[in-house]
Amino acid sequence: MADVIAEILIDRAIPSVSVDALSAAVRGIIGNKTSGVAKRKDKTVVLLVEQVTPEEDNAIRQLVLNHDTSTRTPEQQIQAAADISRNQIITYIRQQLTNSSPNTAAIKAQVENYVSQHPKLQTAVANVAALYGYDTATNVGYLRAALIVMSFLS
Amino acid sequence: MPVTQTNTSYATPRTWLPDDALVAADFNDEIRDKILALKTPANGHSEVNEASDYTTSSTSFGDVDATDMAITIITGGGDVEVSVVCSIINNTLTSRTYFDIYESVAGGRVGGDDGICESGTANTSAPQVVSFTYQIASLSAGSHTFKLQWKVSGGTTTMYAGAGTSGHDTHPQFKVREIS
Repeated sequence: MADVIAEILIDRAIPSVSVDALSAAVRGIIGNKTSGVAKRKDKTVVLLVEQVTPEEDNAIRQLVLNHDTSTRTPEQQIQAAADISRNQIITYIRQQLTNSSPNTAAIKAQVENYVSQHPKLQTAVANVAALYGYDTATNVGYLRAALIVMSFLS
Repeated sequence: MPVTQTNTSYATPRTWLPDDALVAADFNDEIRDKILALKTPANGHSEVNEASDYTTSSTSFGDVDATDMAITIITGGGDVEVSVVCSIINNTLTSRTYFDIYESVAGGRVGGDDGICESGTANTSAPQVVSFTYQIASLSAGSHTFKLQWKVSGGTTTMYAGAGTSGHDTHPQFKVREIS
């Protein structure tokens, strides 16, 4: 990704845990013109890799000032849940695999973390992968097997 | 203000010639002042203890803190060593956090596309120590500003910066020193 060429500084301190969801919301307005959001002391910073229009600048400022800091991304909801349901995992995998550029390594790590806590699921994923010829060493192979197992069990 | 900066002037010692007069002013300038300059070269350091931690989700390099993680020194020309220590944590497994140094005269980062060093995320609940030194060679004489920059490959990274965060009340240090 290109270097940062400008920053929009907004006088609002947000919790660290809110940065993920706020980044996603900012991308919803200006897409890849932003490389992300940072928190510095009492300011929120939107980092820009392309110039934005005055209208976009204003929209971003309003977004940050009005952002609901209790909002969490699907990844954060999965991480925060003390007892994740299989349906949550299925929904999560499906959401991630329909992203235009999914980070399959990160998704696999999240799902693997859940599956590893349930030995029977671990066995089932391995068996399904063997049955369908999926290589669980690959991210996509593992996720396909995990999705099938959890779809059957839900 | 957590940033302290010290600047001393240093120039190449004179070449003494036969029959040169040994006067106090020359001794003070050539011996006392230059030894003092060698003992305490241009340097600055910042040890932050902020009201909140730093966080970024940026996938391009940006300043950690353009004020408190930025140091300006006036060098005599030559090499400068930068050192950093901090504790970080990323909220997404397999994501990486990259660090680099921005230098004002060159007007850019000194590292490669992905900076000077990277830290992985094998565990989203165990902070990682980031500690490195980096020598920036052959800088021109004059004023140089150095800033710590970072980016992530995914998720968000938090750098603990005091803030009274229970169990994570650590204070990052950013240091710059002329070394030759």
